[in-house]
Amino acid sequence: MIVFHFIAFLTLVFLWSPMILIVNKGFSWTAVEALLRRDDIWHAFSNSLVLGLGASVTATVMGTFTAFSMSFSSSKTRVRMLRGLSFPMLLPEISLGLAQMAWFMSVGLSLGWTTLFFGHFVFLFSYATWIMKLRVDSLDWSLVDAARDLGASDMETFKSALLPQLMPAFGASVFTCFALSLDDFLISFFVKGMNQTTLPIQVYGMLKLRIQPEIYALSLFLFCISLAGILIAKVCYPSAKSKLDF
Amino acid sequence: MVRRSRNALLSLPFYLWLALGLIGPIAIIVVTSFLTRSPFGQVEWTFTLDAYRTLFDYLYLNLFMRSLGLAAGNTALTIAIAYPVAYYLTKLSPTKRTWLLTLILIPFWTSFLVRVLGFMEFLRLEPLGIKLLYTYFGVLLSMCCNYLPFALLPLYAEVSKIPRSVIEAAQDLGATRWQIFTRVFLPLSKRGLIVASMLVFIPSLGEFLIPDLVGGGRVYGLGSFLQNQFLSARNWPLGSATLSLMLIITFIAAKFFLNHESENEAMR
Repeated sequence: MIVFHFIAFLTLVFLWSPMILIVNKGFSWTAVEALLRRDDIWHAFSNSLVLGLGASVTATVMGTFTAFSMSFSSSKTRVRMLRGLSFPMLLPEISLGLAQMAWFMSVGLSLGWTTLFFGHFVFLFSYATWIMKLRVDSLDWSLVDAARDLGASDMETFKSALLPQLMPAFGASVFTCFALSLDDFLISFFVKGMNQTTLPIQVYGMLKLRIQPEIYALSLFLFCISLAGILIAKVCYPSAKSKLDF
Repeated sequence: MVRRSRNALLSLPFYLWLALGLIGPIAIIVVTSFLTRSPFGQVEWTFTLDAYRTLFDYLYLNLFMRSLGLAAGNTALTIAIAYPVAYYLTKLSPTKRTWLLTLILIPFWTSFLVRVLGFMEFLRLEPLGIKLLYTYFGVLLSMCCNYLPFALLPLYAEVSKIPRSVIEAAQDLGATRWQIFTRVFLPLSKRGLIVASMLVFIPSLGEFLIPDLVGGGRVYGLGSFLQNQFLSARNWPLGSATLSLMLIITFIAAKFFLNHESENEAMR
């Protein structure tokens, strides 16, 4: 058992030392001040937010349609669709990015915001559909029947019987997709045009050149955001069944 | 219940996504891999196998093999760490387990690039007493730390399902620790091991950022090679051929996983 204690401890040391080093270097007034003066970073950050939110909501809406269509399909079709969905999740990210770049260029789309948005949508769609599928599979359809029996129209049934059941999963899906999109480097790197930057692309450029103090402040800022994200997720979904994927 | 036409409409986004987001791009790559590169870096519509011939040239094959080696080494190291940690987690009380898992997973919620920067700082301190930054071993170490959850979570899910009674039975029958591990523990967590190694091996095959930043360009992986062929050298046919080979490897590796998943789905 001693050996296992030691391995677990060593793992924690290896995972946390980099974080602690960054927090330590980012916690300085010069670094923060330098960061506040870098307009290009904040511009890239707001680009990432808009892109992430747009792509996540689109992916989740489309994913919801797909999840419903799956639950209405025969099990054979469903298995086929699931295979198609998991495939891009298994692919090395670089292959999806490069393949999409080649595809956009050969169909004559010039690389820019459209291709960046589409590139993000394509890889988020799989995740969104998986999350929505978990919810759609366990929907309580008796509520829908009840609404129908009480004479509700299609729209009213959807609003009163289905939407409330779907909303938590919808939020979880947008949240997950947003986090994934915000962190994506490889796909954005290949499908973006000359003039588009997202935050990861900006950070990569800064790491490639001389490492400046503001990068530590930015890292600290991003670390705090993800901690806040975890807390929000914990508060919104306190009864999350699995402790593994909070 | 739901009319067929309505379901067709519902599944429309999926098929559009499949055609325009997945099949189209992959088809383009496969087609390009059989074409020729013009002297100016454009793609010419002449059908050849030249790209594949170049790829199986000693120089490129060597690079491909080294990348496979890096991915395999990373997989082995990651599992060597994740397996005992997964076992350790099952031994803890639920509260402690949640704490340890949370502590392990928090760093992975941070941006990937932030983690890479942190690791560069960490390696610069030379925690093991040897030069690590810009070395092969340093790259391996940071890749391993970055892929840990992909191995840990499926392994934990599988290991936690092993009933304690089975292990106790083996003990009662006089099995040594080694026998318990090889004859009881290993077979019962085999599926988790396969899933974990696939989830680590495939993405690390195309890893670009870690060799590029932590390796400082001195560790040259498949990711850097692809980026080079597509963006700088502009040899799309060669890049596409490499990518196609990578996709074939992914297909083969994914076959097992997908079959297993769909078995679960079919049983529902």
